[in-house]
Amino acid sequence: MKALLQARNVARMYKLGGGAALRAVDGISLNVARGETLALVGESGCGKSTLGRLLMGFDRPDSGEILFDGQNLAKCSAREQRALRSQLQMVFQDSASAFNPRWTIGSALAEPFRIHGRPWSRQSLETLLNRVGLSAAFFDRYPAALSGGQRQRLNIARAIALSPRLIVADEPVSALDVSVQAQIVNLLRHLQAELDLACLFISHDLAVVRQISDRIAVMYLGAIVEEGETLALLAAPSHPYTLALVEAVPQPGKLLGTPLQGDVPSPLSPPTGCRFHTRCPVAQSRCAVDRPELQERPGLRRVACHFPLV
Amino acid sequence: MTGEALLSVSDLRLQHRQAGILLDGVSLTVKRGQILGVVGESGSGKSLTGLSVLGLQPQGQLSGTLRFDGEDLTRFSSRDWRRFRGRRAAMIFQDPMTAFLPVRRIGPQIVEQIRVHTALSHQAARERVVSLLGRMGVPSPEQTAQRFPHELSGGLRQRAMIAMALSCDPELLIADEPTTALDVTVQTQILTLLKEIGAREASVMLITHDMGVVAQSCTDVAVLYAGVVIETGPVAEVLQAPLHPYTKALLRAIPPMTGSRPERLPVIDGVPPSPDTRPVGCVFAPRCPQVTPDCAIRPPMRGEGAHRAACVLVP
Repeated sequence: MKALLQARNVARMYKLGGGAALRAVDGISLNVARGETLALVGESGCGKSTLGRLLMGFDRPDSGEILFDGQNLAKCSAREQRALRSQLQMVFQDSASAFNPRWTIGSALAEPFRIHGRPWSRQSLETLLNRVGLSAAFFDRYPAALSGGQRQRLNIARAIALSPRLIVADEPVSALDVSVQAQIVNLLRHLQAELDLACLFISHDLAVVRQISDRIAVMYLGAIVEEGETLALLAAPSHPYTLALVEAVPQPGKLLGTPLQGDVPSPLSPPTGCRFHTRCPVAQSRCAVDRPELQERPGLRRVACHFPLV
Repeated sequence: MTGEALLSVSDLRLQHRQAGILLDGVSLTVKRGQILGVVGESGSGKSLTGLSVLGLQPQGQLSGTLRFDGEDLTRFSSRDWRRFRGRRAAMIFQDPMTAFLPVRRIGPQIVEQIRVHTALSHQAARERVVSLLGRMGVPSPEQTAQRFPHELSGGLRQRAMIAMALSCDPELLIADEPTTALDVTVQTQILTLLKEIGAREASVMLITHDMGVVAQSCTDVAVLYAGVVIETGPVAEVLQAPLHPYTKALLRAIPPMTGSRPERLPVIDGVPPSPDTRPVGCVFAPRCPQVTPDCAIRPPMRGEGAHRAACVLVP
């Protein structure tokens, strides 16, 4: 299957004061196929949001290239870029700050059409509202009239307004209550199937990720440590870090596991060798000096570990 | 001492002039040696319940009873409260960054609290802080005590916060979403610590929105909805055989981590009532799939033994 979105060895470093440099994304390659959902999973500071921003074209990578439908966004002319942008949309976590509070919901929804010079009518926008499960009566009201869940629906409506082919969703359900979260997850899945929409789903919540994604890429300190098909990966993680994440998900009917020791090391001075070796329960001396590469494993799995579990 | 009621809250109501009825009949008990999970969605009143136990709730009409080790908290003067807070019951919050003063080192802040409540000398209080930090799993506690809050990671800050809360040996620790801002691997560490505290040092009231957290770290649970405790009981019983339709629906809405993946997650239709439009009858009735005419009257807690629910369907 041809990849819709392709990242090849993408890296982004931020220079901080005093000669310090933060390698937020450190040589990542990944593919998202048409209609597929790839979940990007990891703890705070692992670079998952930075990678999302790079893929959206909000920020340029220092090295490597990002291809959308075979075209390199960074090398396109402004006109071509604009055309590509309409096929690539983003949903943010904080739906409260994603809307201008002084614009009506209708005008917020019309904005993508205005920007891209596409025709729209009140009727088409009302259909769009209905499509995400919102009443058309909200058209003339303001975002303040919506609850958190409804606002996230509106956020999604705006993202799918131009019929994009890929959406990047950065923690879209993290701020929501469980019962509302379930509604939004269902909505996203339904829309994806209906619109043949690919999705890069950035999240730290493995239970939600399991429900929504086809494949998972696990990140740790700027690099992918494991990638594979969702259900297989969660049932039998190969990387010790993935296993720790899976065991840390609090679930009814499961006892509290043995926690990983310590915190994620500072990305300003990441450990040598395998970046996870300082917290890894099965690390050996080789791990401290020799950085493992992502390697193909049976069952469409890629793992960066010298001593994989499976 | 285990099993004796330390805190008993009964029919607690809080009415705010503008916002409406915030708490609408909260009843729960924390026994010694217990970790009580207070679980509910945003706006259900779980944090307010915790704040009320320390007399920190917003201005409004408060009624009902709040008894702590035989004392009536509703009759406390501000002097009584000063002696109570931090000494007999202490609270930790979701964001430890705002709970510490950013311009003072961690150690001296905890020393100050100890010196306010006890007769310990400065030196003895300092030693106590170092040993406390060590017990909370803070690496090199002596050096960490000399750090500023911003120099610590989120997980370490939360450990320091718990050390501060436990510094005067309180009998009750109220933890309001203590792991919500933390990463999952660090969350497991803090929950393990809270479990140890519950078993050895103090009773814990763990306020959270996450049923999984309750399942893994609490002995008992009280489920709140729209300012009302609608179900309470031992964790294993409530999670395995929930009585109230809301608890059932809430548990079903959690995406499973094992087994087959459902096509759609079960959801609860509608939204919780806002504080100014609470129904007179059962608060969950407008969204309940099993609603009956009897639900027009607010049901009392029913059930056998410790596992009880406020629902007409409970025999």
